[in-house]
Order: sequence, then C-alpha cells, then structure tokens
Amino acid sequence: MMGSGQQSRYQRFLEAFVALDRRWIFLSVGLIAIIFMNIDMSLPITPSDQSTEVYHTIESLKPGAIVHMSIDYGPGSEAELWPQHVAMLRQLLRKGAKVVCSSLWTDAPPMIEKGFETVLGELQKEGITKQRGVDYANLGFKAGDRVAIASIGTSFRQTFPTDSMGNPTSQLPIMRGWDNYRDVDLLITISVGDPGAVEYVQQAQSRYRMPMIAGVTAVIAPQLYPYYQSKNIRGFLGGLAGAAEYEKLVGEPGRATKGMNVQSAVHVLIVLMVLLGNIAQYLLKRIARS
Amino acid sequence: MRTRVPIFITAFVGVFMILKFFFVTPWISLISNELEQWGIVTLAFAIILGVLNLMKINLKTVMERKRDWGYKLLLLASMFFMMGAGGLQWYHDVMAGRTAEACEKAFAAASAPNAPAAAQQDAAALKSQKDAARLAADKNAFSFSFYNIYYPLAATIYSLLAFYVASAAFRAFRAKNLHATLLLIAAIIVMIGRVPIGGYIWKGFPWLQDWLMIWPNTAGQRAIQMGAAIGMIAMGLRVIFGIERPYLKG
Amino acid sequence: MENLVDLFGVWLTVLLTLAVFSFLYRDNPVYKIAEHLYIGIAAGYTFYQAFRTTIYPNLVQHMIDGAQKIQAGDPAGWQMQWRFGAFVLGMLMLSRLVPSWSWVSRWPMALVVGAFAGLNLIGYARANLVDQISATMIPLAGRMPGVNGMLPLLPQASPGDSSIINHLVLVVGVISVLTYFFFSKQQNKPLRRIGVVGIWFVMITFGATYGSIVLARVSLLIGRVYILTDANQPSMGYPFVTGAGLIIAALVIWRIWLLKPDDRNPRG
Repeated sequence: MMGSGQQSRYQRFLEAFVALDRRWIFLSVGLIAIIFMNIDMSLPITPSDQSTEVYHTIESLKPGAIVHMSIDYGPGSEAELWPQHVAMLRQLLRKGAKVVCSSLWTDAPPMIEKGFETVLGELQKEGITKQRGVDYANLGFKAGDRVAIASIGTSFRQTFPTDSMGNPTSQLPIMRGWDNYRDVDLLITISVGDPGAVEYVQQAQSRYRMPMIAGVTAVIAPQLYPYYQSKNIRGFLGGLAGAAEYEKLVGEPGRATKGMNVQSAVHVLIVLMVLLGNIAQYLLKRIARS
Repeated sequence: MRTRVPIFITAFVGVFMILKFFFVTPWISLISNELEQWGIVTLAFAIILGVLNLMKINLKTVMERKRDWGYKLLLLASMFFMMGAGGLQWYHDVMAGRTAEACEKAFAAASAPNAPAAAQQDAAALKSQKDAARLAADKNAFSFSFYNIYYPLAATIYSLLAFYVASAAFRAFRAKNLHATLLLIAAIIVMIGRVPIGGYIWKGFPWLQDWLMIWPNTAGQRAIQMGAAIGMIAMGLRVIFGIERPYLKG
Repeated sequence: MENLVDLFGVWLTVLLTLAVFSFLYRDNPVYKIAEHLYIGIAAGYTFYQAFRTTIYPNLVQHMIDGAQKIQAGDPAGWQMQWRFGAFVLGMLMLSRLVPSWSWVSRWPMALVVGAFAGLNLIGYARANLVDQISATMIPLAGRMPGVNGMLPLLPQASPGDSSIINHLVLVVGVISVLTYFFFSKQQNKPLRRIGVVGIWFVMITFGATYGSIVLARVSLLIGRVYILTDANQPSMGYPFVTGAGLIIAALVIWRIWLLKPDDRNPRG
C-alpha cells in the first residue's frame, strides 16, 4: 500500500515535471541570460576554417579593390549580424578597399548607415579618414529579389540610378571605371534569409565567378557548407559564434565575444532540459509498463 | 485576355531571362535588361500594394468600430506618421544635397586666384548651412522612429523565439526511435560544440561539431539542394510552357 | 536638447522591448500596443523605401531623364520611355485593391513569375546542380590535387581536411539521400537499403539545422539582454529596472481590475 502510494507520488511528480508550465522555462532562460551577461568567463574561442578564410580573403585585398557588400538584414537579426557587419567593414576600410553597400531588404539601409557611422568614427580616432562617394557608398534598398541580383550583375548604374540620398550613382567618384560584377574584386553578403547568400551564389557568383564571402545567421549557415565545399564561397561567418571567431581573428573582442558566455550558459540549460525531459519520459514509460 | 495574356507574358519574360545567359547579343541584352527593370519596379509596386491593402483592411475595421479597433487606429496612425516622416526625410535629403553642391561651388570660387574677400565669407556661410542641412537629414523624426521604435520592436519580436525554442526542446525533443535519436545527438553536438563551453567540457567537441557540419551535413544539404534544383528546373519549364499557372490563383 | 532626445530614445527602446517580452506571460494590452505600433511603423517605413529607392529612381526619374534627352535631341531618350510599361504593370498590380478588377493583376504577376522561373532555372542549374555535382566528384583514394602525397585514411586534426573517410561520407551521403528522395517507393531491396542510409544522413542534417536554429534564436535574445543591461545606467534613471517595474505594474492592474473573470485562467 505504502509502496504504491510512493510510486504514484513519484509518478505524479514526473508527470507534473513533463507538463511543466512553459513560463517557468521562459523565466529560467531569461534569468540565465541576464546573470551570465554580467559574468566574464573568458572561455577560449577557436576560429573555424570558414571564418579564417573570410579573414584571409579580406586581408589579401589590395588597396583600392572594389567590394560590393550587400547588407540583407534588418533589426530583427541585428544581434547576430551586426557584429559580423561591423568587423568586416572595419577590416575592409582599413585595407583601403572601396566599399559599395546596397540592400535587397527594406529595413537594411539604416543598418548600412549605422555601420558606416560606427566604423568611420572608430577609424577617425586612428587617424584614417574616408569620404562618402569616394571611398564608400550606400546605394540603398532595391526591390526585385533575385531579379535585382541579376540586374546588378549586368549594371550597377542601371539598377541603382541613385544612391540612398538621391545622388546620381554615375557621378559618384567611387563608381567610375566599372559597372558590373566582372569588375568587382569581392562580393560580400551579410544576410538573414531569402534573398541572401544562397540567391547571390545562384544569380551572381556561379555566373561571374568572382570571389565571394558571406556572413549569415546560424539558421542559414548549414545551407552554406555545400557552397563552401564546392568553392562557390571562399568562407563564411555563421551567426554570433562566427562573429566571435572573427573578432578573435582580428584581435578585437567585442559584443559577439561577450555574448558567447551567455550563449554557452543558455545552451547548457537547453541541453540539460532536453536530457531531463527525455529521462522523465523514459521513467514514466517504465512505470506504465510495470 | 484573362488567361492567354498572362501565359504569353510569362513565357516571353522567362525565355528572355534564359536567353540572356546563353546569348551575349546587344538586342537580347537590351530586352532582358529592360524586362529586369520592369520586374524590379513591379515588385516595388507589390510592396506598395501590400501596404495599401493593410491600410484598407484596418480602415474598414476602424470605420465599423469592430473588435480591437483602437489598436488598429494606433496602427494606422503610426503608419501615416512614418509615411509623413519619410516624406520629410526625403525633403531634408534633397536640401542637404543642394546646399552641399552650392557649398562646393562657393569654395571653388573662393579658392580661385584673386577671388574677392566676400566670396570666402559666402563660402563660410554656406558651410554652416550645409552642416545644418546635413544634421537635419541625419537626425529627424524618421530616423528617430526607426532606431527607437521599429528597431527594438523588430529585434525583440524575433528574440521571443529563443524562449519558445527552449520550451519546444524540453517538451518535444524525444529520442523515440533511431531516427529521432540521430537528430537529437546531432543537435546536441552542434549546440554544445559551436559555443566555447563545448571545448571547455571536452576538447573534442568543437572538432566533432565542425566535422559534422563540413562532411555529413554538407552531404545531406547538398542532396537536398540538388533535389530542389531538379524540382525548380522542372517547375521553371512548366511555368514557362504555361502548364503551371500560379498567377491565375486568387 | 539633443541629450534629452537621446534619453527619451533609450527609455522608449527599453519600454518597447519589455512590452514585447510581456507576451511571454500571456497576450495582454501592453503587448498589443507594441505589436500594432510595430506593424504600423514597419508598413509606413516599407512604403517609403519602396517608393523612394525603387519606384522613384528606376521609374519616375528614369522617364524624366529620358524626356530631357528627347528635348535635347538625343534619340536615346525614346528608348528610355519603354519604362512606361513598368508603370502600366505597376498600376495593374494595384488593381487588386478593387475586387472586380483584380484579375488584371495577373499580368504583372505573370511578369514576376516568368522572371523568377527563368532566373531560377538557370541559377539552380548552375549553382545547385552543376557546381555541386562537380564538387562531389572527388577521389576516394590515391593522390589528390592540392593534397601533398596520398590521401590519408582517417580524418585529420583540422576537421575540413581531406581524407578517405571524409570523402566517403560525402559521396555516400549525397548518393544515399538522393536515392532516398527519388526511389523511396521502389521495392528494390538494395535501393531501399541505400535509402535507409539516406534517412540517417537527412536526420543528422536536420539535427545540425535544429542545433543551429537554437544557436540563432538564443543569439537574438542575447542581443536584447545586452541592450537592456547596457542601457541600465544610473545617469539615465535605470531604465531597465524601472521599466520592468512599470510594465509589471501595468500587467497587475490589467489582471486584477480589467480582465474579465472568465479569461483569468492563464493558458500554459
């Protein structure tokens, strides 16, 4: 009698645990994130081959190289892609590359502006000054998805008659002497989905065969491995972890590196929850069988 | 008119997109480039259509005082506000461009040999006008609303998914059979191996994670992509030949 | 003044962030306000971007430039007027707003569908078929271009390095998954067995994708927590802590006084 009572209490506990109100899970995830944001664990970060390739590709650019950077993300994925965006842009401008940014996502142009503002402010402190329209340009948003990518391949000036502020593109000094992907030294896309890295490989890289690198969210990253192995893209950064690896490569730890502490803690919590959920389910099944 | 014209348009445009790749002749390039531009403009109109449709539906709700009409009114008000702020942003950009141009000309005139002293004063005055115009274009209601309303809202709405993904992992991620177990193991390797704590727990985790992504994941993804490609090619041909007519729906 | 605007911006950011997070408790008016504000601002913003950066430069300005060229006696201007076709199609697209005329919107849709079909056909064939097939044609033993000496048997210290095992995993994986996709209904025993291996690869791939999705979603949360804790400065009046208090107070008031008794039982 006693034994069966105990067993049923045990069973009840397991059942309650499996059916735990999800808001307790929400609360634990939130609390862990806030607590670990303020704890410095200094965990070692090892750059992957893909991230290292991104670094070397930008590092090998000659001063004056023309780089098309398609910024295809908005505030919704800023947490993952902003650190990548800024780290790559900083390295590009330091190398003296001519960076032309554009976007296929409506909410990206302010990200482009913010990126330039942030990086140029930092570079100014180092004594490096860059001029809009000469060293860099923001061509803004263009509707059209992959049709726009195909059109950019043929002509930048036709696709973007003006930059984001309405200045005629053909009059910008940075745009003189080249007009399509055959003249571009490097294509970079920082993207969150469709249209993004995959569409750029399909409509631009596989046609014009220019070097291409990408910065993508962790959701897209698994899809890019085949293109990386087939050498369509030279390298890519995947999510916040990729950004942290890149920060390590350039030797400037920033927001992504700091975020890795929290990421580690929350992942451990999620894995523990998966394991506990499975164990509880297994024990319940055993009770039911017996 | 209702079916034949769209079939003809699809076939014509589709064929030119393909021809452009195979034939580098001026007239094919000319037509296909222009068609691409038409596509870009048409898709921009599709965005406008989406916004106008949203406006129409919500206006109806507000007019008829249906459930939650107060929220819809807020939606409409913020939409009109942002459109107005956008118009103002445009105006500021145009003004900033004009003053910058005038300033450049004035400085060129002032730097000319034997330029009158007044020219330098003009240039200096224009410089301050230019800076003020630039500041107005950079900091106004439009940029404020984007960075302080749209930005946090968009970022936070997507970040809610972190909580739901954690809850789903706890409730639904079960090793029921071999297939589910394989999925679970791969997911755990990625979750732990991709973050720095993985290397701290066991040195092999990051290596295993990388290997899993580079080889087995590449194989799976590649086969999926090849399958999708074959599907896309078949679909493309069916659409161009008018067998498949997705645009006739709705 | 500028500092005041900045301070207001920080407070707005924090309050709106917390308002959205309040949805985790349950759907509530604070969240609904934030949600509708988001949709409204997003729609207005998108309208502006589509009009200003695409329709204006690629259609309106293009045709004005063409007209100016015609006036100046340049025949190239006439060619630029072709763009009028895009204007007509764009207008037809808007006909969807009038139900009795909505069938006309099939014409611009047909253009978009045709362009996507043509471009996808070529793009997928090149990047997803030809390039991927050629990247799968790799040696399984012996010498390999780019690798010094013979291909090693076991995976190397760098996970991406070539080895017989790695190459076998790739080749067998691709073939088995394709077999699973295309011959899944075949009763032929060997093909079915290869298909079973294919499912294993698909499961590992989906597992890797799931793990990556967790990674991505958690990163987004980190971004918000970073902003909230970063903004929580004494000089700004602790926006995070104060804001959280305000939102919780609003929720308590709503739950106690405004929510109907029938709706009080929260759904988990």
